Amino acid sequence: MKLFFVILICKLLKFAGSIIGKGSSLPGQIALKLYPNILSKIKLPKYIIAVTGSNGKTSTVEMIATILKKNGRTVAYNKEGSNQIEGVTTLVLSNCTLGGKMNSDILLIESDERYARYTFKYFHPTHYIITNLYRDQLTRNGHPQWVYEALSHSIHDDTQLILNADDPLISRFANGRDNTLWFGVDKLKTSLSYNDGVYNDGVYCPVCGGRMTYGYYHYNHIGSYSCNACGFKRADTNFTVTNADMDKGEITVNGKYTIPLAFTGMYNVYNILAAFAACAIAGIDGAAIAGSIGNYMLKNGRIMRFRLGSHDGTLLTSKHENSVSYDQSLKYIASRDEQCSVIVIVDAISRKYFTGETSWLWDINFDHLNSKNVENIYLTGTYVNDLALRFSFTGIDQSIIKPIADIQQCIDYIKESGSEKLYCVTCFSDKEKLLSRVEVL
Amino acid sequence: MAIKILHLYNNLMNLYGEYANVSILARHISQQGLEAEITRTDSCSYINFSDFEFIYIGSGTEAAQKAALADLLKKKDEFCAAANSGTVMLLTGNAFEMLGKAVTDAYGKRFEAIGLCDFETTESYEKRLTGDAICSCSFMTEPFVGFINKCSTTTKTENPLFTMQMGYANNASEPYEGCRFNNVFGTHLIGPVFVKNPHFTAYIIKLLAKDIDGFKYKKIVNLYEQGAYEITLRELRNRLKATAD
Repeated sequence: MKLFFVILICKLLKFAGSIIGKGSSLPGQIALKLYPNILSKIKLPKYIIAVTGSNGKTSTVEMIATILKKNGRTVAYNKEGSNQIEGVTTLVLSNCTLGGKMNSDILLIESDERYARYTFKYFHPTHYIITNLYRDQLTRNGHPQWVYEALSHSIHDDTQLILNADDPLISRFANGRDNTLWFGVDKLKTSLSYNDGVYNDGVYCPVCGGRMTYGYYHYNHIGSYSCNACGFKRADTNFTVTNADMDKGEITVNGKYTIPLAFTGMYNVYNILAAFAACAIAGIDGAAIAGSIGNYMLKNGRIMRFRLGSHDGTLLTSKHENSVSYDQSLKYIASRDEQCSVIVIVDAISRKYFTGETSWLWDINFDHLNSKNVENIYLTGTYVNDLALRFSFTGIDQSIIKPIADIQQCIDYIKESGSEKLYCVTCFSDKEKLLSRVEVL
Repeated sequence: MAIKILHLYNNLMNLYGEYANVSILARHISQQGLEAEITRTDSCSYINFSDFEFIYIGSGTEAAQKAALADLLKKKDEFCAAANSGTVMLLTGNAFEMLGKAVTDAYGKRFEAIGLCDFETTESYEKRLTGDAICSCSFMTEPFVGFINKCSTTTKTENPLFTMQMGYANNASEPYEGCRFNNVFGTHLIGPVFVKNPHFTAYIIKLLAKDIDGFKYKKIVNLYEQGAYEITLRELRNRLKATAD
């Protein structure tokens, strides 16, 4: 009886919340207060797929859900990105009967990497996709190995791991397990012989601390590695991008499935590949997956088009305190043929309070913007001095760097000058400061 | 004559953009009309500490710090001799812990450290202590700003570097942070400490250049550095005020 009432309360709160536009953690939070182990009482579907990692969780989950739905499966997932236990509880309870049975074919969970061990205490995924672990929000997370330790406590013996073979740190999760499935990207025309980041998290082996050698890099420390000391190396992959033609904008998976890309950034390739793996495991045919995800434009607001004066613009939402995320956006801009200007906004690193922690700016390789197609670089927001100082240590011609502290003044200035393409690189926490001042398309 | 800088464990201990400390220092040195020569290495095997005027080590993971310690212990005596003779050194983040007697990890394993100072450090895997910091010291009037990101407590520091106005101290029972021995500055502040504290960079340069014939320090204000420092200090003080109200 208690189960019935708590599920009912959760559903009502979720419904009420959706009317007033409130977040999706509160109903779950209240349900957990009333019934702490409620998640262990729910009859869950056959497939429980979880996605975690530093970057790409939300996009990967959105793509998995899209493919599954297009192929006739019912799927419950946390689209609002409430990815700790409270949000997951809301997700589960609002998608089950009052008797406590989930009525979708697949439960798909975006999970926070640090708190996953609490979320998966009363139930755990059948399949667990781990995308990567990077330097991400170190003000909360400490460092990637610290997160690795926390995440390792969320992995149960009877869960099947689906890991990114190109990330050495997370590949270590497979040690002592025999049914891990791997996804990865083969050597491509765009692969590099060197690490193109400011720092290199692939120098030392995550298992033994010995020196590693790379056959190639895709970006930062993502690539094909092997340890000279203990032999730890990139695993052979089950799901593989075997070819990529970024000029044409398409990738080939497992040598036979061609997928056209709406967006050619390398991180998009990894997200699509992870989604491909998840859906193949859930029983969807490879050709059907490729057909469902070709040219897919994400709806989660990571990439948005806008107009400002005579400029066409694209917002590339990146994550503050996450240098890999920034590097990916900067590389994408530099890879474009058209002339463009770039706006970097760093105004609020945390939504809650001011922090002086800007060391992550020094981990971003802003030299990626030292590219013929970049005409101007506008820096704006509270951290304009930190940005300008950081840019003064790049090889970029300093005369094209324009720090304008006030965001409104900066936008007004750009509006009045030129008509070149614009790219704006900023975080979720700051993107409204652009979007509220331009015409969103 | 160039000022010789050693950035030790530049790959192993580089978690928080700390290479920038060396970049900024080198820029300031050249702004003073002097030359800086930088050596970077992950092993002290082929290094004579006495060849350098300035030695820098930044923060690493707990595992990386143990690897760095194992390497540094091989040249412990030379390292301590350099410190005793007045070589200027800065150790930020958990590199600071290496100056003490020992670091005990979260599982109770004790690692001998350099022993330049008498303090001891104990790590925990339970909780990370992270947060902004404002601190003052005895040798400068301007406060320092920065960020602490650690999982350890340090006890028995006889000569702390800072008194904390905001942020985590060496341990919860006293307001003191870091250590100072001669011209060796150790602090758990992470990241580009010089970037956010231009007055400290100036102080260090005066120390480094004091024996150079005819050198006179020129006051140079780098607007972006000064601006970043002032905004950070103002905003952090506002936070302090808000919590006090």
